[in-house]
Amino acid sequence: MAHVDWQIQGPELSTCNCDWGCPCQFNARPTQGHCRAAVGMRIDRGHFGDVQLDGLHWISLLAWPGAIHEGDGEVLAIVDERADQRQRDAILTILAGEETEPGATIFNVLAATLATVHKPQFLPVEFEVDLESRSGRFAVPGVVEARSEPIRNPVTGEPHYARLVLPHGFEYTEAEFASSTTKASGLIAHDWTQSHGHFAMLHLTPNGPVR
Amino acid sequence: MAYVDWLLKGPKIASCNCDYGCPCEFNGRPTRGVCEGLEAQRIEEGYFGDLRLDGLVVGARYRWPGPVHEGGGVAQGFIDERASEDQRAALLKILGGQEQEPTTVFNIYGSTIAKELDPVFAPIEFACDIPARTGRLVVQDVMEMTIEPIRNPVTGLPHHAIIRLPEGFEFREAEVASGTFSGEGAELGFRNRDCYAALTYVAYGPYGIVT
Repeated sequence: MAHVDWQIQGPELSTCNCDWGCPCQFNARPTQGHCRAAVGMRIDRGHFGDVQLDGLHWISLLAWPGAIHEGDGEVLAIVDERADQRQRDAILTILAGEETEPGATIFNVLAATLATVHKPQFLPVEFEVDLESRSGRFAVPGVVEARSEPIRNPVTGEPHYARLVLPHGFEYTEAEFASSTTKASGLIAHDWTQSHGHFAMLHLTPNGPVR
Repeated sequence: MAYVDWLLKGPKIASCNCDYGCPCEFNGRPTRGVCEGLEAQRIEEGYFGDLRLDGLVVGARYRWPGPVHEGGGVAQGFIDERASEDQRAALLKILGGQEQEPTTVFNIYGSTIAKELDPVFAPIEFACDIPARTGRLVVQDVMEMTIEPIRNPVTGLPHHAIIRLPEGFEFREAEVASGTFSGEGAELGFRNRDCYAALTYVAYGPYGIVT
């Protein structure tokens, strides 16, 4: 099927309530039986048809009562308030998994598991990541703040470098694992410290990640 | 310090009772609190000083009451019965953490072991196909393990995931898979289905992983 030509490319910071090394990345069940997540991305280069998306951010707050694939989840998308109407529509279309081959992107896969899609919000987004040091942060003042830092060895206190490669992944091909601390209030409330986080350079299109 | 020069190089398979993606690889806590499992390596190329070790299979099974680094573990080595007296003595020295830096895998795990059972010398069947993510181990009359690909819980397709630990002391890169294993014994008997397994090709020497 023909889709609108689009791509988004840039750093992503994903945080969730699982222990370090989120079992879901391996098709195991979430550490605490249910999945909650806060994900943010800066689009360094992106377009949707003739709409340019460079420099814009998006954030998704997500929650499921069990494992993601068991469904019944909810999502709140927050799009950079600097986006104009066409850019907002474009980003929300991508995040909804539309204009995408079935199963090709994480957005399309997750869409099938979401029972509630809250009305999107358009707010200022703060986003800074340093993939080299696995440190980063994104925030929407008053709604969410997610921070990430290296995992520490429990004995030596040294940073623990761990990478996951998913050659057929629908989100990333390679991600750096980290430790996250996230708080969110409002429609989807989050609160965790020293949980799973990962950094990846996303490059997604209607046909999935560019490898 | 000067050590006897030695090498253990070849494919290695391991499984434990954690969920897929064992949190311990990321410094998380074991999925079920207790950590138990086994590992084995076929020595494609190996020596201890002048003594060749090629073709032998060596391994260990273990149990800790909590995360490995909290100690209190029980372990038992097993060695191919085809090994000569000299080869057995050499392999037991290596497994015991002698003739190597304190930062090697045998020493780091060794420092968490409170009780070591007498080693098993038995016929050992060993198979490892890293690209296919399949493996098999039979230590005659004592324990066995089967490794196969993880399956996607929705599509049933194999899930391909590779963990990279750039500074790892046990492996630098491992294919993640699904393990089922069982073993006899009063202290280290176990039975686990469809849990974490890893396949890697690795070389160890007196200073740790040889790259």
